[in-house]
Amino acid sequence: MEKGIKKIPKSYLIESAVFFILGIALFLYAMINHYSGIAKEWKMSPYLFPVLIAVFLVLLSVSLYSEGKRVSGQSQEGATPKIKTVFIAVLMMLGYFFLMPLIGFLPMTAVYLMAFFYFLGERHWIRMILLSAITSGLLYVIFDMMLNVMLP
Amino acid sequence: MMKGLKKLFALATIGVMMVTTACSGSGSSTGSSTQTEYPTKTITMVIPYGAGGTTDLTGRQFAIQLEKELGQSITVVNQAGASGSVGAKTVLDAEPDGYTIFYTADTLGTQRVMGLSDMGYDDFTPIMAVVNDPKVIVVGKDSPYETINDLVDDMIARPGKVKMSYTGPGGSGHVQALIYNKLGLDMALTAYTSGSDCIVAVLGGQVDFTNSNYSTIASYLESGDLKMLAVSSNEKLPQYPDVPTLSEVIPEAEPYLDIPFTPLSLVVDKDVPQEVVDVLKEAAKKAVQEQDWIDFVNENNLEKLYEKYPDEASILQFYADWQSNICWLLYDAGAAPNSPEQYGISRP
Amino acid sequence: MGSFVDVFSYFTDIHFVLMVLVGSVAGLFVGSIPGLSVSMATALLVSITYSWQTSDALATVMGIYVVGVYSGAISAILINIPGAPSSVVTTLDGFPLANSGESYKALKYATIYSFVGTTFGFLALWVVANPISEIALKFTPMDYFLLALFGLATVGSLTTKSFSKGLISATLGLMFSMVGIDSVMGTPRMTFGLVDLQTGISIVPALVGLFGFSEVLSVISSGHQDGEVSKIVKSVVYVKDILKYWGYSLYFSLIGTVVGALPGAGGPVAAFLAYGEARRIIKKPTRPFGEGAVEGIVASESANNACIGGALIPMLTLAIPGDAVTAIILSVFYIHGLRPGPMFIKTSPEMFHIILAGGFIGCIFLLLLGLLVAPRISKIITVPKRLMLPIVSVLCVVGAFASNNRMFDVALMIFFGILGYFMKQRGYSVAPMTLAIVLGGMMDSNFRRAISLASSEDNVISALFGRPITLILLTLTVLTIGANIPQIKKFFKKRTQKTAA
Repeated sequence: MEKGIKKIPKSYLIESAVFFILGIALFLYAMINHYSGIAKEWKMSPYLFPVLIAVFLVLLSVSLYSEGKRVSGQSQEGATPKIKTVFIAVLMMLGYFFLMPLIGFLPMTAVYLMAFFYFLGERHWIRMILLSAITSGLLYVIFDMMLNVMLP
Repeated sequence: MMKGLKKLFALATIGVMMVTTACSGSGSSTGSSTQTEYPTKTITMVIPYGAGGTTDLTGRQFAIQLEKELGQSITVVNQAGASGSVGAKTVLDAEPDGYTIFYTADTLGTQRVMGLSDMGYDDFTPIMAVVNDPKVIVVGKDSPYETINDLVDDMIARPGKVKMSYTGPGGSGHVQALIYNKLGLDMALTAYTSGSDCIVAVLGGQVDFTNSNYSTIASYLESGDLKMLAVSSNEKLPQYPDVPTLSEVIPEAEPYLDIPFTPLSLVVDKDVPQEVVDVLKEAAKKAVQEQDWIDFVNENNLEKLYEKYPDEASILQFYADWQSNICWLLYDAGAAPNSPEQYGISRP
Repeated sequence: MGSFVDVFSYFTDIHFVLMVLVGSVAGLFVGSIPGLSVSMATALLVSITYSWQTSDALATVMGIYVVGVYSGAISAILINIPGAPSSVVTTLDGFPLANSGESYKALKYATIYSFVGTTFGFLALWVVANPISEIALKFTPMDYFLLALFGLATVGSLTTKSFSKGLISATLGLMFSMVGIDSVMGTPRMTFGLVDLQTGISIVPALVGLFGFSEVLSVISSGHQDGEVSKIVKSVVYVKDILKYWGYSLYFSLIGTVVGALPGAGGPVAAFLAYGEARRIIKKPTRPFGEGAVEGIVASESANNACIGGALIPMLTLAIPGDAVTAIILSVFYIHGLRPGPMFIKTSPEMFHIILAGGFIGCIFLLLLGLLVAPRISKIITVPKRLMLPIVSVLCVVGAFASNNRMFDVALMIFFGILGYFMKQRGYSVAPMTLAIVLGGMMDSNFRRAISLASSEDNVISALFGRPITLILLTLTVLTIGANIPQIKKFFKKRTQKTAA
């Protein structure tokens, strides 16, 4: 403490703020819903437990903040994550998700797998085609035919 | 897009239920043009409660008999959740071709006023009012209450202190509690998830008594873990002539206890073609004549509703009376958020 | 011991053994594919075995149940996606161990201690079913709540370096578990008008997303996808070495059986509690816990498999299922005209013996199949990441979809995958969140029940906490949380220093 004001790592500051706000929001949500609902008694109210969770969350966000104070100074950055590649992977997944009901499970999965293989650096074409065809085909047989999962 | 997805979900759900129809393509012949051919494939019976409850037990037994009469197998699917509204929704979402039938409990009549769904008996065509599982009052084997009088006296002496477990708002246990309230008996209610959980609460001494369906507690009576104090009805159980009815102890209870509290019935989507409905009705009528079924009903002290309400008109009248009685009871007690008037249910 | 002969007579019944084998193979299959759960397989079986003889149906179900619970560990170890919530703990040490090339060792430990755990559970079911169900009856709603809270506090303190982060992860999980129709009052809550949210957030999409998809994203973001391929370490795993832990294993199995007998708590809680105990009592693990300690695998697998026997106890004696699988097995019973309840073991001893025999034969198949499959399947980790990751991501999608046949669950899976990725980046463990999602509903309803029960008493505090089990659980929970609050830690350190001085 004598060293003056320590700098709290930014990430801790942001996270504890996010959880603090989330806790308050949950608290308000539960309160509003409880008093607009029919059960006015707290003991059986569906919103009793959310209130408890909200209080916990607020307390924990404070605790996280104070923890941030303690770790300040220690650098804790690892290798910088490649956010861009993750972003593309998520986009591909979303594309897969939205197009599947339209195109159908089999072709879409094969296309998705091919694209993903390529994206991750695989260049062996025969392996890519074989693997994506076999995987999607096998999954289709197992789930759709044997287990009656209605894949799109 | 959204609509397409929704339809897909519905289709998919039904698809899984028809597991035994193995080679099912998704487009099951929708336009059942030649109706007289019913049934040509497996029928799915949806039970809106979990396995082991009274709805499940009687429904499965009924399915076995019905299967014989229809000559097609019936897959029973439990779709528990939200006081039976999840199962009801599945049935209405399914193709109205008679291959999805619904074995429903009483909560179908109270869902709307309880704010759980916008479905009611009106959305379905009744095939048969099957049975009613009598409600009985039970306590643990070490309970200080030896007779129903002990319990009633204690509730009067300590209002709001005697603890009772029930299955949650709108359920038949809740209705029972509200009736007791009308009789001047006030108890502390605690909600549990299922009928068996309510029994465990009694066995573990968490609560003082519960109001249960007879079939749920039959084996506990046999083992001696529970004592049955009274039957919540105007008529005694044939197997237990020594157990009094509640109206014998509290005569004012008589008008309230005249209705079956857990009527279980077989219904289908109201869009199902009349020909199919007729086939089902015919089969159901024969099914209840089977010796196996009669034995089952007697063994479990079930009340035969199909004798009381033999045709569609009487069933519909029964539903209407039942809805108006129970819905207003719930609404007047402040337990139901929506007024029955909203749904055209008039006061009894 | 006439029943001894009755049970083991089934071992020579070739037909019976074959039915168990069929179930066991199916169990191995569904358990090890993420998204295919044992409960789903048993549900399917309900309709298939509809017309079978009761003994055949039960034999198959027991095979699926026993081997299915075990094989959840396979995917947990090899690709970090637990096959079921109860295998979550196995990922903590199993995956790091496999990643360092010792996948075979990890699988072998998992197999042998699953066998020990399951056998223990069934022995307990056989010998002490009634006393254990008496104990289960003594648990009041408050106790269930505290048990779950204790489990969450343990997980929070075990899985992350920062206690606050662990608990925040659990708290967020509880928040997610609130979504959907409330089981007590039947009203929708936190659904924000979305019909799809009314059924709540199912555990499978959350599990697959938090573990599987987030792992895919993490590997991509660290740029390891084209990095070194894990080489299998060619080391001989001696059975003698493995068997060193049998003493501990029995203790973990005991935890598993008792927790398994408490309806609603089940496998995940048992595994976490056993893991916590392992960290407490084993001072010198082969590797640090969380980095591939076989002791962690021993604890998790012994406990979650011992739960099987435990979960069957309340199901058979009280007709209360201990978890999702026993709920479906219960319906198998009803379909075949069996009525579990207080009289079941007395009135249908032959059925009870069939269940036991099925369980024990299932155990043997677990061991055989596990040891047969382990050396082959363990090679999976040598597949290059750039080929593995896309396939895993497709498995995540299919698994999430298959659990309920809803595209919405796939969307949930993607959401939890992204959330899990950020959590991992920031040092929040996803395990507490998973456990919280599993337990949230039960904690909520039991907490309210406890309040409701106590509110009619004159002395609310003594009604809430005035029983021995409650007091013990309360003390344990408070100690676990207290011991991790830095201010209290400091306070005690100072005091011990003072007294020393």
